Amino acid sequence: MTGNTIPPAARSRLWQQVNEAAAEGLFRLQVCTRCDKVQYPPQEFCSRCLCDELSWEAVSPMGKVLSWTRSRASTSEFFRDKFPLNIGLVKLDCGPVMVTYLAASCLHTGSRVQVTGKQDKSGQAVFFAAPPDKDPVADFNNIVMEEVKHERK
Amino acid sequence: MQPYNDVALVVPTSLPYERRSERSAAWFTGAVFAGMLDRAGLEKHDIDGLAIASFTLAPDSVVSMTEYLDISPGWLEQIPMGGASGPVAARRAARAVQAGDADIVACIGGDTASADTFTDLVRNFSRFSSDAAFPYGAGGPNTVFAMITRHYMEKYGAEREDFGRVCIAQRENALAAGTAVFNKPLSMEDYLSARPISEPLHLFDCVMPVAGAEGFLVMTVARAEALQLPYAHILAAGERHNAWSDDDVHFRGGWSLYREQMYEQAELGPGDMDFLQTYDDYPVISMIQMEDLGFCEKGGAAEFVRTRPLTWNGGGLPHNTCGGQLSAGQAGAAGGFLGTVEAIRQLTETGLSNQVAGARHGMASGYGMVNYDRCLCTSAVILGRGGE
Ligand SMILES: [Zn+2]
Repeated sequence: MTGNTIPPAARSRLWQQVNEAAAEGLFRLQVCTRCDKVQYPPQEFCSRCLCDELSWEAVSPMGKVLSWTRSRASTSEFFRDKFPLNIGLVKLDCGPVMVTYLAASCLHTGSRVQVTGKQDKSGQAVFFAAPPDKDPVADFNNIVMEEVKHERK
Repeated sequence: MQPYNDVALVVPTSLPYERRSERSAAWFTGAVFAGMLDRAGLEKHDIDGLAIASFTLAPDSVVSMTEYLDISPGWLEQIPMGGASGPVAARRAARAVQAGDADIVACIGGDTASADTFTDLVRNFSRFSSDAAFPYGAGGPNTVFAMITRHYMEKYGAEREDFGRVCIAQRENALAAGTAVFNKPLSMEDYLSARPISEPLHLFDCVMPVAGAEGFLVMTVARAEALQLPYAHILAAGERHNAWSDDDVHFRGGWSLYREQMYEQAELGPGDMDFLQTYDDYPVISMIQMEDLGFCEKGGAAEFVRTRPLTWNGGGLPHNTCGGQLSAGQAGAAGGFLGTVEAIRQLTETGLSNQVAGARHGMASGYGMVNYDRCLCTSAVILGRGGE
């Protein structure tokens, strides 16, 4: 089936900003210019003060694991030889809660993690949470885009 | 809030669910519509209000259905609330009938299921989901509800066996009702040894997508009596959306914000409910509803299900008396109607094979629409046996 040989690729227009930050190796999220709320997932106005002037700024990528799962079933063929797949819910110190891929060493509620954006094999950025001093995609080499890995070396 | 005086819910109707179907959601919707007319002894032009919930009706809508059914209603509602749609449909249709905006409203939840419908549905469910949740393993709702389940287990000390108790009791209910896709008994050993889907969720914690439809008619009590139809009263109803949005992980829902008002309006308490029909996309969500609807303290559902039988005839709290979606499968938005339809059935019919003895009052609740990391819609109704 078409589309099943890569991870899900459909994203909103705003996601391009996430892709650009990931390509630059930076952790940037939406920040409200009026009330300073850090917002994720991105949307076109601030959900707190409704201001529609939002900037993309470097924020702290540090956070802690709120919960996690070891996924073994998918609607996409791409993932079927990659189970189990560790996925976490991460509370960033700067506020938002993110769904991320989660390093195998962080499968504990409360684990301190650093979140990094990288392109997966669909070409779209996804987020990886790992211990701060570790390679964020070490457990996910079969999911990240090859070129991204080469750039790192 | 004004009472729902003189409103009757009648002819609770369920189409048998099918694992897969070549037929469209329009067929399922039309079939349950025809079935309700037949049972009520009405002609289709007697219906002047139509409320529909469906995920797979697109590109059609409730508007298209008026042409397919060739009816000309003066009141239409499409309810995009999935698992919360049944109680919401009852609530809105009741107000329309009460105000005289419509005489008879047909409320229907229906969906088809093919090899691709479920995948298409979860892929395109919402913008937040397709940007920031679905790409992670493409597991659909299992991924976020697995994380909600683990968090609940760690926060309140619930064990897998507690979820198992909910699932096993529902399977017993399904066997008594005799209508479910899953028609074999489930033991605790079966439950615990099932294959993992998204840990801590295993096979029997997850619903199977199926095709089907559920519906009921809403009219005045006078009309129901003239038609000699047994009916249920609507004693109280509530809905709340995007409640508790500051909670980092979902562990409570909007029900907790309106349950007191509902019990006050119904002049009843949780102890007066002869059954409870919760929305059971995952057993943890049923347990959260038991808490947030006041059947036990917050965090107390694990202890509650350890000590209170949940079967239709167990003498405890009869819960999801037809087996729920965990046994019947999830027929899309019909899953949001299943509990309401079963509640009306328990209060209107006699001689059901899963009849809760002497049932006079009961509650049905709904929960629907994952936007990112939880469902946003909650709803509930308290119903009473008609004529009392
Ligand atoms: Zn703001």
